[in-house]
Amino acid sequence: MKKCFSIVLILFCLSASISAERSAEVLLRFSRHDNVTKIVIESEENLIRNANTTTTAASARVDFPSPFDLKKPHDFVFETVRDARTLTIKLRDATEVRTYKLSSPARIVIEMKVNPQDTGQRQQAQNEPQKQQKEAGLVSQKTQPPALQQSAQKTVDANKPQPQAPQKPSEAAKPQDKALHISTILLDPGHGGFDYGMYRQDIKEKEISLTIARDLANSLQKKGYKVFLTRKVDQSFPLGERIIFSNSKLPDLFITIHATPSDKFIITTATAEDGSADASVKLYKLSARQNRHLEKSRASAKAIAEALKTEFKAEAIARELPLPILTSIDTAAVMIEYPFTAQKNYDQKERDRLINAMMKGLAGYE
Amino acid sequence: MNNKIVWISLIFVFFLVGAAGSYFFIRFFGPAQNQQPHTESRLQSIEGQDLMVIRLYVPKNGILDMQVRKLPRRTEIIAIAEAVIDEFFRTPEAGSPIPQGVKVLGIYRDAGLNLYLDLSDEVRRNFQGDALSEFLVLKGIYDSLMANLQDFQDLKILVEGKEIESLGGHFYLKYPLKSMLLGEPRAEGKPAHD
Repeated sequence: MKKCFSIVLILFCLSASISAERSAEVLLRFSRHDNVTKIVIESEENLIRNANTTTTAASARVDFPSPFDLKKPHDFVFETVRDARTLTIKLRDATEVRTYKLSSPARIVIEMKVNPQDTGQRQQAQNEPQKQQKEAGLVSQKTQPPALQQSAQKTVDANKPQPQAPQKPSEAAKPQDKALHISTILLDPGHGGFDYGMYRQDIKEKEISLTIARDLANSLQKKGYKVFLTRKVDQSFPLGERIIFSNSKLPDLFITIHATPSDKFIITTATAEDGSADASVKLYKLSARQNRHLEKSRASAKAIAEALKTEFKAEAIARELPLPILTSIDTAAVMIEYPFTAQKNYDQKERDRLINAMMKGLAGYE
Repeated sequence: MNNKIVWISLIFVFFLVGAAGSYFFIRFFGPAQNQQPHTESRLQSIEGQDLMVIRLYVPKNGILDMQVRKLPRRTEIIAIAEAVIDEFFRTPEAGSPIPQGVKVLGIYRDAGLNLYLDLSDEVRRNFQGDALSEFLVLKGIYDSLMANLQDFQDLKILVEGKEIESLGGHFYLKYPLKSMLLGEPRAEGKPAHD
């Protein structure tokens, strides 16, 4: 009896210790700019620090010290082969491959030059089954909102240089249903402090914008985005300081929230800088930092405008203005202006609709 | 007793005469009478004067509407600028984003031909509008001055003699306006309309 009991105890201890060996999660993502592609392998610090990386022109092999769970986005274009502790990524036609490790969060970065045509073909091939799945109704509305069709078509065109998202810390709860380019969003509630913006009776633009920004930040954080706010309370915050703060956070998308006396939603992007200006001057001109992100900004504005149009059955205008808060931002930047009319009171229900539409727009943009 | 009545009557008569005299003096020689011919003569002199035609760019329905006005001719650049800005802010139409009650406190020009326009605080306090409205007000002021003055390079707006951050929280007033207003507003491939 005693013997039996000790065997059971030993077996229990063994099974407990085996199950306690939790396999770490390894997250794969990639970004592309012109013909330079970066693959990022992100995981726990211990796993990354003790991993060995071997690269050739054809593949990159990473040996981890312990078993791992691999998670990669659906549009990850590179073929991967894995066993318990090894991950191999096939890099066809890659040149000038180099790898390095970074911390906060711990990650291995594989940087290389890839023939864009080849990547495009592979990406197209990768997107094809998804398209078929979508047609068959296998992909949920959440993972593939309607407006995503546009961005899918956009990503297929690999010949176009794609703006590269900066390498930034990402959350452990990074959403798996979204593409690579947006992980950090900066929200800027307009006005504040002595600057009321528009007002009527006791309703002030500065307060509504702040409430909308806070609600949107909460929703985005729940989805796994990293969100910064230029102001969290009713305080005065000069335009110049908003720009400096926003650029220091290196967001993937900047959204400034304002009101309009019009009964339509207005989504504004920056006006392109005068083409006659000298290229080298434009490169260093602080007020022209938005120039290199204009396409991305316009795409996001279009997606948000579509989503607002659908949700509110109201007209949403995409507009371009030389706004300093947009032209000086060094990432994709849009201004969302919500109607500030007597009919709109922006109670909780109304705000929820607005936030939902914006979230759909962002998902559509990605 | 009789003397008393006589004295009271005399005082009463003097009082009546004084009141009537004052009334007739004010009626015929008072300031209102003096002003009438002066105003008439001023109007006559404006009609008789040489007039200048100015072009104003006024925000209207989401665009800048070019309007032509006739004003008494001025030759000094600062006087022309003052007349243009006075006319720009004069009784804005209903629905116009131009703030009401704005007074021109001063206009200065530096050696670099930059114009400094000092406006009363109403320009900031009475402004109610979105980014496009603010853009159109600033661009309207700038374009109206550009259209009527030759010798100026850039424009900086001061409020009550001081630099302020912004008019309505969308555009800088801390810096001269020219480079900021270069871009044209566009809405889905067309000029911006609401």
